[in-house]
Amino acid sequence: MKKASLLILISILSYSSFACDICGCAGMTVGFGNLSFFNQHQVGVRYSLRQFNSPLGSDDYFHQIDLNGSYVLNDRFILSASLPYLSAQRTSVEVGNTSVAGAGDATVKVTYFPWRYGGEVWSSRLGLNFGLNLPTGNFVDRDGSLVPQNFQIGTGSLDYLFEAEWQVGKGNWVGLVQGRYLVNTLNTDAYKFGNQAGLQFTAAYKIERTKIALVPLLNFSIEHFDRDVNNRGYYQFGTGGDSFNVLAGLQVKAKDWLWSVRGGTNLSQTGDSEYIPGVQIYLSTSYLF
Amino acid sequence: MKLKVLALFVCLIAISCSKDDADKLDTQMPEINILAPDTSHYKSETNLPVIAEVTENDQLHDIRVEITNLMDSTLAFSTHTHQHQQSTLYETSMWLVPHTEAQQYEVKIIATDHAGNQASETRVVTVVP
Repeated sequence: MKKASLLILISILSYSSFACDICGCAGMTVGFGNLSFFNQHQVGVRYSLRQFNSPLGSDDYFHQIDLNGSYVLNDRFILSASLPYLSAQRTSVEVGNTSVAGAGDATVKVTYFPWRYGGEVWSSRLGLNFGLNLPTGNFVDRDGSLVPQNFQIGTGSLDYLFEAEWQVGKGNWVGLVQGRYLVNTLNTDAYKFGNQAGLQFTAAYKIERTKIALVPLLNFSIEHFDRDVNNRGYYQFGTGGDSFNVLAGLQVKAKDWLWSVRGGTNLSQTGDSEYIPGVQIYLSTSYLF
Repeated sequence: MKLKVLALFVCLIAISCSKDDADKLDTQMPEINILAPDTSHYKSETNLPVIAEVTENDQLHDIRVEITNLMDSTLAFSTHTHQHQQSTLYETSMWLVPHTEAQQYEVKIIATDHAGNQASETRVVTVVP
């Protein structure tokens, strides 16, 4: 029972999404993707609000709703998919108001667990993900515009995602280390978003009540963004850099339902972007079956 | 197995953090072709037109115009525009205040691209009463 409980706790923590290209005006706090239960199918919906501010007088707000699901093939493989809908507003002293909305880039991913250990004292597992970001979101070439090229709802390119996560649990504590590398390719407008690398560390503690389990968590992440390359073959101004982020949250599990709320912000950032990430908020709910 | 996976990610991150490719860095300055002032003499109490074609191999960032009275080295006019186009026809003008004797003005146009490369062109005109 203790072992099973720990396994569930580890699974609850499993999320993987870092920063995205399309709102990557600057480094930002980690998002969280699918709550991929180890041995349960799930469907869910997630809302996120990300905001960026510029000292030059512009504010960007990205609202995103993701429909996501996971299908457990067997003990070693999980298939998952996510389809986002984005609505973004930008207010600028210089340009005025700009907004974009629509379906974003869908993601499909396969997770493989090559190694797993579950004992009475501690448990651990290694997960490897390979994913594709599909160019289902619209990309508008903003070359020559004062609106940044990455104010988009889609990248317009097929991108490759590689992730690894190592989780360790002991008692009610869980530690999680996740690494991620995103390879972006040239899109149909000959614009290439920079590749991304990230590493994040999460610590969580499970508090069990009669019918629910509460899991407060704390997460730190570092992210590196390569600079975008525009259709003339030059680095795009205002892209690329590194960021250090913090995020705190709470997950609640009750029977077949899982709810999550998280918030975070950027602690430091380097790069030539003038944008400063504000507070990021994430809410999600999933049904497990 | 775990160590191999971690080593792979460290390698990927190291590759990702590698230095910029020199051929993706814009090192060329913008080019400025002044179309106006197109004569050497202007009459005071008229507009001094400033028109320039500015072209860039990548993206412009800003164009500044500074007009200096060379008789007393005072800055008589200054303006700038922020834009990201590859080429533009920039136009502005300055009202020439009355003078009792001829004055020389230097019209200077400065263009900067997003990589910080800067070019400037000047033209000197005489303003007569």
